[in-house]
Amino acid sequence: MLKNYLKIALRNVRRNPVYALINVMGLALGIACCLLIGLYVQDERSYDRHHENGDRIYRINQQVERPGAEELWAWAGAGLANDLRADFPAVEAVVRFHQRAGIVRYAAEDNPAQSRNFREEDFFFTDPAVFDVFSHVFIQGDPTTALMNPGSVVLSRSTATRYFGEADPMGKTLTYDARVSLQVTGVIEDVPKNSHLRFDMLAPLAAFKQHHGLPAEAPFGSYWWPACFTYALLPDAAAAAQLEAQLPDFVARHREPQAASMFIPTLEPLLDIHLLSEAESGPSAGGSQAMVNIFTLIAIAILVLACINFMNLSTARAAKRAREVGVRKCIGAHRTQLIVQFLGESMLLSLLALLFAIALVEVLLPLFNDLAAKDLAVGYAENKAFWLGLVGLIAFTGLVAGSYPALVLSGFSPARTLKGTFSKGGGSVWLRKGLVVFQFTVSVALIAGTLIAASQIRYLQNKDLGFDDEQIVTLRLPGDGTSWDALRGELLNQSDVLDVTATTVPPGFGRGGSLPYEVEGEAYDEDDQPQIGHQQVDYGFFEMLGIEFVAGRSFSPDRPADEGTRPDTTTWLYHIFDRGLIINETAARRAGWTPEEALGKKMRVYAYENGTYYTDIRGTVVGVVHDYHYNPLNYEIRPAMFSLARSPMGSLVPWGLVKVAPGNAAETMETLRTVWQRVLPDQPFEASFLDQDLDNRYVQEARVGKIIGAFAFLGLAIACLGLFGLAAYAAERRTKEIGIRKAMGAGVPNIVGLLSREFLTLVSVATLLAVPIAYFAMEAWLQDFAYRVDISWPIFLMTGLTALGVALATVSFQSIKAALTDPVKALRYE
Amino acid sequence: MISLRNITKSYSHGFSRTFVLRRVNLDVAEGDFITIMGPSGSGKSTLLHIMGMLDEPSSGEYYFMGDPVHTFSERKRTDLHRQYIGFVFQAYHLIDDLTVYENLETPLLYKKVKGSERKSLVAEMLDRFNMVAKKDLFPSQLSGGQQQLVGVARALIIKPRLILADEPTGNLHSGQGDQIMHVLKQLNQDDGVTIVQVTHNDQYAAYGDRVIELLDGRIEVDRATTQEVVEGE
Repeated sequence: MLKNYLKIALRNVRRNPVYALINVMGLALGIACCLLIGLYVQDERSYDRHHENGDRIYRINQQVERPGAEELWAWAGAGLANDLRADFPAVEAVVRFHQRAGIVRYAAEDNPAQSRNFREEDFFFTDPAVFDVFSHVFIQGDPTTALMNPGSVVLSRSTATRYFGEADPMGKTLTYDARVSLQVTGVIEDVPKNSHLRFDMLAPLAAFKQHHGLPAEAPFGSYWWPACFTYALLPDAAAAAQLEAQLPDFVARHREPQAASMFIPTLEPLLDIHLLSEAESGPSAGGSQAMVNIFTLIAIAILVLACINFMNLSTARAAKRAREVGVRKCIGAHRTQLIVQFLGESMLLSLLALLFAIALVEVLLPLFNDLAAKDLAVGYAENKAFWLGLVGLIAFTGLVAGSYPALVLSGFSPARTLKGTFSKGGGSVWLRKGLVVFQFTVSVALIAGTLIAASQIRYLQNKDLGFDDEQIVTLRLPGDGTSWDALRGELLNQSDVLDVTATTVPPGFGRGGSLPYEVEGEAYDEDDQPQIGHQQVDYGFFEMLGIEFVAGRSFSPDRPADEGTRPDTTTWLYHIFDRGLIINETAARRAGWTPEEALGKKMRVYAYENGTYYTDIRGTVVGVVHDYHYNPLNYEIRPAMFSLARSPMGSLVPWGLVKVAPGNAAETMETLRTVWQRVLPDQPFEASFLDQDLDNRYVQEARVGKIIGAFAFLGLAIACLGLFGLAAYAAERRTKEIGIRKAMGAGVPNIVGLLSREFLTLVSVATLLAVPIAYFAMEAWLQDFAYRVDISWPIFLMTGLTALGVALATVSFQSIKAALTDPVKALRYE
Repeated sequence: MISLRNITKSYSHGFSRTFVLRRVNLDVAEGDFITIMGPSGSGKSTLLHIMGMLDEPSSGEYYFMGDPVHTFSERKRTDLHRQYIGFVFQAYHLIDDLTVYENLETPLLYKKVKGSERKSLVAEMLDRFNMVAKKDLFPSQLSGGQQQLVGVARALIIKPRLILADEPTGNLHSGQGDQIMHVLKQLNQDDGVTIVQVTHNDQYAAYGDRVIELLDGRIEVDRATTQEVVEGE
């Protein structure tokens, strides 16, 4: 029996190759989309699952309840870990990670040519227990002792290769920030890409103390500093719940009442971090459950589109196969046997589609990886979920795609089908129309959504940020101010360098952070302290960026008094008084001043904790600048304060800004590099153009937009494939009608119109349905942006016209073919 | 063998009702060769379909070999007709995508006949109808007469007790028609297979031993045929 079914199915394919091709290719596209998205989702869900203790590790976040700000911080000061371990015996281990980028240098004594230095962004100071808690694969060295010694460092495999090539890294000495010597005591496999915390180098926190000139026995007592991602290993989930309940009391024991009520530690399971964490300033953002859900939804939608093609084409062809059903029933087939036969046929086609889909995945995966910035591979040998998914997909597509034709066809009454009076049946025609409308609604909504997202991203990239970002190169500086004036002088000597300045953060890259402030002579409620963003800049900053003053003056080398004074020269705390301060218009407005009134006001910003002012900057407002977007456009413009990067405590300039003459960008970069290497031979040269950096801020959004766009067009392609098939059958079914009409004098355009009208009506209806769906979905998405486009009707008009155009092109091929057939031929059959 | 009691078949179109068969009573005995005649639309085919359990009457009782078919489920009816009834159609109704061999084999597959037995039964049929050379051809490669021979062979392969033939010669020219009728006659005489045929052709009606004439869904005439007309040899 099976053999018989198989034969029929295969001969059917052979006799109707176009129909089979449309079905199989459509399904293959749908399945390939599903597989690609499946791989993506699988990867997203696999984060941090390689750690043996993964389900017992919890990150300690801080729930921040400040007036006007409710935030969740992914970090806590190093002090918290010490107290946690002391207070709770149930905590098996605590591991802290303090990220601090630095210049790492390898000086090869015997062969200077092999010396290397790189800026290491992913350099972390940590606790020696790190390898007990987290699972990392050691290639060389002993995990239990690797970080015991304060002067030790563990490298990832690729980092080790970067410094030492083929040579044995063990025992070699690296210098961190020209201050700390670290001996390589271990090499581990690179941290898997699906880890939320990825590092290239790990050194013990003891080395961090050395770096800061602290004695080895100095405790880390602060809950602020150094900021650490802190992870606790607990016996089980119950212990975690118990611990979390005690944390408010715990923090009340160790911090001042005000801080204890504002910063409440909470636990977050390691395995939830990538997709579910809402904590700010955590490592490796970008995972999002919402995104995973959206992609899953799209995958299912596209698969359903492909299944609909199958159903539609099968029911459209029902008339042709009705006779076979009748005959089979006459010679003794049960209905169930026919259902099995038709389901089997659709399973066979979906199996065929699956083979094409796997080939498609092989072709498309590199493109998809490019688009999604992932490094996905199928891993045929070990990926059990993939194979399970395949079986599931065949079963799903086979059943869904085949069920309707199977149930309908098998239900035909043999007496009627054999008499030849079988008609298409009104019900299935309406269903078919409904499904076509559904297909195009989904495609049009996805395309409109993509276009709206693209226009929002374009808007963000083109929005006037309130400053001039052209021809400005940003330079990553050593940060401690070394050689800044020398570098600045050398650069200014170059003919194509117009101006040089520096800042703590490049314009447009603010993180939205702020500090509390006070104005002399005004009283503040402790619980309602106003906040202001604080940034330090060098001379010429506002001038280079074309930011104009509303009132007062700028900083200049002629007024060194703006640098301020140190009230106490013995402390390392950042206390500087009598500075010149510049604020933005928003800050003045918030304080209730006109720009002129602001001048001369005495202000103070500070960071205070447990009786210590870690930062305390006081001064007089000397200028008010126009507002500009110093934060990304997710934020409204907030109050901002600027002080000089120069101070009696040295310069604080991590970023240099160089205005260059228009011309050959590559040549200019080469000039800058040459100067850099002359002044800072041991420092890596890292430079880029500010306007490009600014455009790249929205790369994540742009990426998601592109992925959804790609799938939207795939969806449209699948829908059109189906339309093509339906149009072919409609033309075939109406051959006689076309013949009669032509015999009565209808021209080709009449016939084409006749055949196309029905389908175009369906696509129009779909467009009308898709507009509100896309509108409301995208309105919800745009809510997240402080600055956004308004959704305008031309986008919908354009999408609708595109869909109609594509549909028309698809249908008219068949219509014109039908219209051009000889009427005599069409009528001869009767 | 067959006993129809007050069989009525009607279709409703909105508010009106069309009667195809009205209170038909008919008995067919084992070994009968019955011809149903009548003008178009008189209900001949419908009556045949009801006898073959392809269609259900709107009301009335149908006993097949003593079983009350009108009370059976579709599955049970299928089992019954799969076992005892073979069909021959005017338009042959072979499955286009199957070869002659496979078309003959299909009823056996539905009857779940074993592979080796299937093979010998199909071979026997091919042999009997001189179609061994054509067993791998598709229906479209055969002439009408040849297709109808396959149709008859397919009906016979399950060794039915009843053959229902709906204008089996309608699409054939006279030579082919004679051949098919000859086969049916032989089956009836030699194997005792009951045959009910529908035809417009008086000459072929004479092959049977009883003629039933339908008009507007009623049996107008039920008479025996006169032997002289038969064969005309």
